[in-house]
Amino acid sequence: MKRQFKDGLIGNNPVLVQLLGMCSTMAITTTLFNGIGMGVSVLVILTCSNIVIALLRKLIPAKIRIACYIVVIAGFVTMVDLLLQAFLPALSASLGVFIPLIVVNCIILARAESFASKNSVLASAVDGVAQGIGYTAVLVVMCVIRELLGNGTFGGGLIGPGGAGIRIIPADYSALLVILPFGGFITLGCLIALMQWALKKSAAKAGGSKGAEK
Amino acid sequence: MNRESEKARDKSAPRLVLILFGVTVVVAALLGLVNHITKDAIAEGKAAKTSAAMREVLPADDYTEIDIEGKAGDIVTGLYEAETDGAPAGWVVLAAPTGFGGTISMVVGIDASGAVTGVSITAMSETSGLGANALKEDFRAQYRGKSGSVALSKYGGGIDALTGATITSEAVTQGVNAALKAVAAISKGG
Repeated sequence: MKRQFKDGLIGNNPVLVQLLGMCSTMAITTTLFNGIGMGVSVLVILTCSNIVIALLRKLIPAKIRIACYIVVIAGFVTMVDLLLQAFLPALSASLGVFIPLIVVNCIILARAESFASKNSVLASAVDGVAQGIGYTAVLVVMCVIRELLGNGTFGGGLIGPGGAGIRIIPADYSALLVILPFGGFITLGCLIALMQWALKKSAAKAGGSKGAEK
Repeated sequence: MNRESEKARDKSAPRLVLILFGVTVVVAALLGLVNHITKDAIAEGKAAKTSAAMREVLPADDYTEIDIEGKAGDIVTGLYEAETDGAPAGWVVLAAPTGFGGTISMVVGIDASGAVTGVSITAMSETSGLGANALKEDFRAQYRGKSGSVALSKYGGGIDALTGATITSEAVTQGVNAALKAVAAISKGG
């Protein structure tokens, strides 16, 4: 179980290593509020869909499994969407179309196909939480970097007067392009490079135990 | 091609349909339940937001909806006559121009003399950090007191566009213009 968490966060991080869910990562990581909201939404949906798919894994025939997964995932996404609209309208307004788009977030389908459909309910639930935390962690890092460099603030939407965040860099010196999609690609690229470098380094350190991976 | 596998498929097809149907029915039932729980809260939230925005742009005691069928163009989605102590105080117009990231839902208050009293944005999906800055008071306050028609500074009007968000600024301006036009049409006609 500890290994699953480590994998979700580092070794097999959904965004930085599996390179899944890039679209939402790029699109919503402009304020900390968005990042945490999106991360937690995906975590909840991923865990729920993993549990249900693990429960149904012996019942669902292989031929129609993808269709069944999509129905289950879409169901959970719509539920979360409705619940957010009802009880957290500010977050719902801010994430906009990206909540419904979680349906096609490949992290969820990938985990359903590669993990939940082959493992027990408990292991799948843990996998959902671990991968969800990994996704959220990347979003938070992206948000902090992009918000700080692009807007000059920290914690936008969460703290500060009117949710404006705490200003760290004066408004005149912030690099607007970091907030734009272009900046999202650059930031994500740097993070992936950093992650690969760190993974390679730790693999080199581990030396001969390379075969032990997986 | 392969006779046997074709036969096997024929046999399993109804089962596949039934299972997928079953999954869909269960999910649909759960969705219905969640919808039932959240429906009222969502509608309430939206109504509260709109009425709060109406009160913000033009404070009045009472708002009566006016039928604007075919009179106001595509952008205006609703028009209310505001009254305070039985005397007309002006109009509140709901407008929905198209911005950079889809429709912008906004509320425009216009007083009896035809001048804008305030602009409020109730829902939009503009880029956060750029177009979403249209929510800021500094930007919206520029429209206050304007009448006739408004335009961005680069077209010789008095509205400074948001940095990096010309499309959003233009959309909001368009919404205000549509609201002014609709009120002009209503007050002339009635």
